[in-house]
Amino acid sequence: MTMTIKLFAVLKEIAGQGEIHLEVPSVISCGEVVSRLHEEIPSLVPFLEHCLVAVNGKYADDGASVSVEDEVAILPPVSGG
Amino acid sequence: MHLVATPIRISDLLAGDDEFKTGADVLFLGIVRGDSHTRKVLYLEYEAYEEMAEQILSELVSLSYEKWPLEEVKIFHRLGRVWLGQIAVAVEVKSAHRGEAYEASRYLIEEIKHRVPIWKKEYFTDGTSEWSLCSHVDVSESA
Repeated sequence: MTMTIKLFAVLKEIAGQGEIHLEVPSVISCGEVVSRLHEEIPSLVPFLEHCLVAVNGKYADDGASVSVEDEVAILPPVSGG
Repeated sequence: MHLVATPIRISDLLAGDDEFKTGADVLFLGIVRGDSHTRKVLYLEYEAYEEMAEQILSELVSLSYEKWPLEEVKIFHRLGRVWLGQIAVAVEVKSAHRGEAYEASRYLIEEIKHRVPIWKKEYFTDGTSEWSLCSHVDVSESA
């Protein structure tokens, strides 16, 4: 199944796109999503360790489960204000 | 809406209180500074995960009303290009007395800086640019 993952800021710039599509099992953990991104886009690796995952607009921990129905986003350290 | 793509103006803030319940009006403005460490800044560009940022900003406003007896809370944050001297973020808190307005103002700007998915890219006068990597929420405290 295809999961769409939103990327922002430095991640979007390095990936060259704001969304990545990954083939994943029907349910996968947030940590596994990040591991899959490591494999798909190795140039993101130095940045991903500092990032958090958001699921449907809420911060989620690595063990949280996500499905292709969910909106998944990878968020670099925030720097608003 | 808290996220705005056009300049934040003082005239959008500091409105009067027709019922005269406000005794204190604390306005915090975050302004684009000309230096970042040793480098000279030309302008900033702000990007957000807009749906999530709006949601968290609304939650922060609601939380501040729960924590303190406030009359009114306004938050505006810029998106896009913001030049030196322009307002990047505005937090206005009105209350009957100054104590709660100061406390809520400080709480809100610190939460904005740590929890809201907004990112700043600095563009320098030497032609280079860099994403600012500041801080992050602790997921265990974000619920």
